[in-house]
Amino acid sequence: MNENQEAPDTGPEPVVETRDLWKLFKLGDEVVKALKGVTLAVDPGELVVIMGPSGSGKSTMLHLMGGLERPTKGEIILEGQPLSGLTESQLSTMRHRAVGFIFQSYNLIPLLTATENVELPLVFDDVDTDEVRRNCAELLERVGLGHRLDHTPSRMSGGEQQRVAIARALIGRPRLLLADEPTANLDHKNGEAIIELLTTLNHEMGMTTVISTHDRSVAEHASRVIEMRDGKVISDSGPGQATSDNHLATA
Amino acid sequence: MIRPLRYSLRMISRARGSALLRSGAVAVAAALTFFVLAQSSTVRAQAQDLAVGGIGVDTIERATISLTIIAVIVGALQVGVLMTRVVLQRMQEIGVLKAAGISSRDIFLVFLFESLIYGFVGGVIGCLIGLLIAVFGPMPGGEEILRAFAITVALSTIVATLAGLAPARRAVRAPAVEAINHAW
Repeated sequence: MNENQEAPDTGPEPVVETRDLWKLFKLGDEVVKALKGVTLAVDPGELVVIMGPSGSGKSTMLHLMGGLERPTKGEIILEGQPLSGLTESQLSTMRHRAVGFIFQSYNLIPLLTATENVELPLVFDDVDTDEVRRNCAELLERVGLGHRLDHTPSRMSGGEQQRVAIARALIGRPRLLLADEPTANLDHKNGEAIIELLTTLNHEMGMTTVISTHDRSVAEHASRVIEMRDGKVISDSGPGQATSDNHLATA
Repeated sequence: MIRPLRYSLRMISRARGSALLRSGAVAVAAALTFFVLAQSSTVRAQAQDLAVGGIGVDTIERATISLTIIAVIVGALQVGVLMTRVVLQRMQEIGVLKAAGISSRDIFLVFLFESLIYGFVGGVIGCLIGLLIAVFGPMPGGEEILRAFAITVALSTIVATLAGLAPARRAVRAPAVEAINHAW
């Protein structure tokens, strides 16, 4: 284990770190404080669940951690790189390289097949198309959709669509997977299956994952639970071991 | 350049019906342009034959130019409105592309190429329609037709691309988070 010189805690370099993060939104004449000084770090291999009611700032937190938005104040350090000094295009490259996003409403492109949706993040890259296609098929296989490669989203259930979205988030081999309320549009059974899939990916690939949710049962799968309320962290179970006993508990 | 173009072509080919409709809207303006251009030289030649004199030829010249300008403005407005709607319809897709870290340049090119393709395809279809209408007037010669065809398709493509600049910029400037959560 390498020691951090200044930080009091020891351990590997965090995948993402936030320091005194503030985010204000203007809603008409009103200023909404979505985040009020959040400081936390996510270590490699962690499965973090951010719990909180709607409006607690958890979605904003995920957007900021993934470099999708900029904070009003504070710093985000993604893979050792402070994001505040980056230009828009550098920030975009950072997201492309390091982050995979999963959204509440899946956000698949209706006109494209499952395979085409999965390859979307790499479609503009100078890469071997055949190899990408093979990886897409492999990933879809992995999320349990090997039989749906050429289906469009309209022919898939919500749970299946979210699986495609997970494969799409993984195709670029990101270091950090951010899932914003991934089960909110699903019934309990399908939601459970999605969380189990994310848990498995975390255990097997060591994929560092942060999930935001208001569903308490999701937290049972996490190696660490952070509770947010009104833009602040009100409790944090702390960095746990990446591949903890949860594996046994959920196996 | 080739990858955004390929993506544009894929999205247009999937949109089928609505893509044809959009090309059709451009084709209407292109048909007018083609018809005017193809007829004007024939009419001018006839005016000269009838020895109407300089005034008549001058009037035909001016009418040709005004009608072409009107067709160009109509075509440009069509593409501007159509592509703005396309961009708004595809906000979620734009959000996903942004979240995946696709460069602004590529997103811009995707939508600009769409405008260009609608301009080109609409131009070609417009010429064919214009040729059908032309049978109702004095039939222009082969050279006039070719000339009108080349000018119309070039004009249609260029005008559509220029009209697509603003919508494409709009796609790039949309804030990522708002684009993702865009509802309609």
